[in-house]
Amino acid sequence: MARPLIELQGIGKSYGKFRVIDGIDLDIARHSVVSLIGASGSGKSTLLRCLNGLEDIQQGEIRLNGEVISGLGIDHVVLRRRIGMVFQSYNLFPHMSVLGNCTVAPVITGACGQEEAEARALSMLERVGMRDKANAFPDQLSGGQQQRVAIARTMIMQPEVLLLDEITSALDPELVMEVLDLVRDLAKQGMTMLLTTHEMSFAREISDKVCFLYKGRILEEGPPEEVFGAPREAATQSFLRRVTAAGRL
Amino acid sequence: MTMTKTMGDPVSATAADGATRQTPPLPTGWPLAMAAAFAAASVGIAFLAGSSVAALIGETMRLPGAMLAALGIALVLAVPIRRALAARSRSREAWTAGDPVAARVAAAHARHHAFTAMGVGGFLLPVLAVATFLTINDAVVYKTFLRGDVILASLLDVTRAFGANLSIAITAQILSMLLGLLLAVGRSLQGSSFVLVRGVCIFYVDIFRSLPAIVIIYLVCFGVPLMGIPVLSDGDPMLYAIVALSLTYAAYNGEQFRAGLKGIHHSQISAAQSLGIPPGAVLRLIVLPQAMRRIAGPMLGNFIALQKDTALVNIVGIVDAFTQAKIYSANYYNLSSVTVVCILFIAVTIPQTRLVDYLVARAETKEGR
Ligand SMILES: Nc1ncnc2c1ncn2[C@@H]1O[C@H](COP(=O)(O)OP(=O)(O)OP(=O)(O)O)[C@@H](O)[C@H]1O
Ligand SMILES: [Mg+2]
Repeated sequence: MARPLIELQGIGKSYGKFRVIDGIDLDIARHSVVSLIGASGSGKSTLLRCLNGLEDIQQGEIRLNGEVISGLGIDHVVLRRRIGMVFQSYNLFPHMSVLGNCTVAPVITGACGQEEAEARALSMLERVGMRDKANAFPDQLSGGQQQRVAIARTMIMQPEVLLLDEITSALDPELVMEVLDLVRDLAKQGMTMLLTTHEMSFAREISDKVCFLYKGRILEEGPPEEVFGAPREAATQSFLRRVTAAGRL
Repeated sequence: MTMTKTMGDPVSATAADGATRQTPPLPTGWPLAMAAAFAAASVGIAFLAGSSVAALIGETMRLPGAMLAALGIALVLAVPIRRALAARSRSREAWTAGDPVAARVAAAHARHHAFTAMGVGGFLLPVLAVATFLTINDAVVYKTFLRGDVILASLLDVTRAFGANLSIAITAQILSMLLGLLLAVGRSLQGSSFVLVRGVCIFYVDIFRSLPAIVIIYLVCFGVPLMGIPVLSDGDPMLYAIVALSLTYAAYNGEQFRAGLKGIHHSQISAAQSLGIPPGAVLRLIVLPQAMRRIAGPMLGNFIALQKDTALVNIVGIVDAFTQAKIYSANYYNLSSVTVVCILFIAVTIPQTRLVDYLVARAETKEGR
């Protein structure tokens, strides 16, 4: 079997005395979609942020394509161009147009010139159905539209893997679908993705592997049918019961 | 029907006998009393103002002038007060006639007119007081501060010297913003390596915010030439003044920048970093533009304060507008030339103050753009 695109080995992270990530091992195969589920505060976002070098890890090792990308002396600026991340709160730059949001990174990192960046941005915006809003500013867009732009902005950097942190949690229910449809498309095109979500039915449908995080550990992982259909651990069962009661499944 | 229910909901409360109890009209008594008091005070001070203004024409005009002014003001204020009284009695009639809605409406009108009388009185009182002050004693105040011939004679020179104030202010503003940005960035550097840099920046800001600008100007402008260091001590006093004010205002502008930088949500920085944008560009393209929008108003406020502090350079003998005006005032034994300085400062400051208000309001309502 081919080497996984991303390998996490014994990842540990603490804020002061509080151990947020407590020894996580996880492999993400190329072209696969892995979902992290778990209660609020279980460390899902923190794990994604560690992968992107937005947080330091204190134990363990992260490998991308076999290459170690954690520890001292890693140039995260360069590395982040290979690992894209989209956030719950979109985080578009409010002082730039949609086009500006999409072109600033490729131009400043020297990935391409202004003209090519604009051409790439426009075709990416076309793909996410936002081309006609290229000159709009973020505050003129709905949440769903902003999130689609945020995804386009990240995709333009042509990352090898995409980290999606609860990208639909801040959206009104009727806007969730347009963003999830986009993620489905990306998955079909073979994008490697690691995502956290509270949309269980979506996680079940799109994932090749689901991991249940509990107090900074992966308590249970496996194909979605197993984790959702026949959870082994009591904590997983009670978590799924609670989200079902909240109408999330 | 319980008592508490009746007390708790006055509008639709039901009295013990079962009839719906109506809310009485709002009180009209005290607004009318206050309106009358304001009117009386206004008429009184109009009498004084009229008397002293008329006396400028001739001493015999004093009494007629006073009577005329008092009568005029009384007639003006009588209009709202009479309307208020009329509405008040309409309200009473309606209330006794059992029409509480009409009674409340009429009372509201009465209060409106009473408040109008108060408002006009509140405007007239200070205005008439100033008019009295300026004209009293044969317009001695007016002649001290507002003598046309002195103003005309000094206008050109003082205005020209005001150029020095403006150029000191503008240069010092640019320098202090640069130094301030340096201080702000220095103070927000993370990590143990920069602990000393952070300390220096905090120390600088603390020191320069505690010292009066006039003392720093004095120390720099007299101290540096005194030290006799080649080149450094041979500068123009103007240059030293600019340096002194830049050093002072760098502390204020630095704090302003720091507040602006801190105000940018860290998720914006995370997003920029996650796109692989290098740290310098994150500051320059993402953080600063957003911070600038937010701090433009307060920063302009600092600039206005700096402009006014340029008048302090007169203590070191630089000929600015104030120094020039003092020369004229000494020659004419009259302060009207200093009034020119006031007018100049007011003329440049008020538009900026309005702009500050606009910028602050914009930053509050509209993020970004
Ligand atoms: N900068 C920080 N300093 C201290 N504690 C933090 C910090 N960031 C996160 N934590 C803590 O780490 C824990 C995990 O946070 P994290 O954001 O990863 O949870 P999560 O699983 O993403 O939860 P949610 O579903 O609410 O997003 C939480 O208890 C949180 O309080
Ligand atoms: Mg989270």
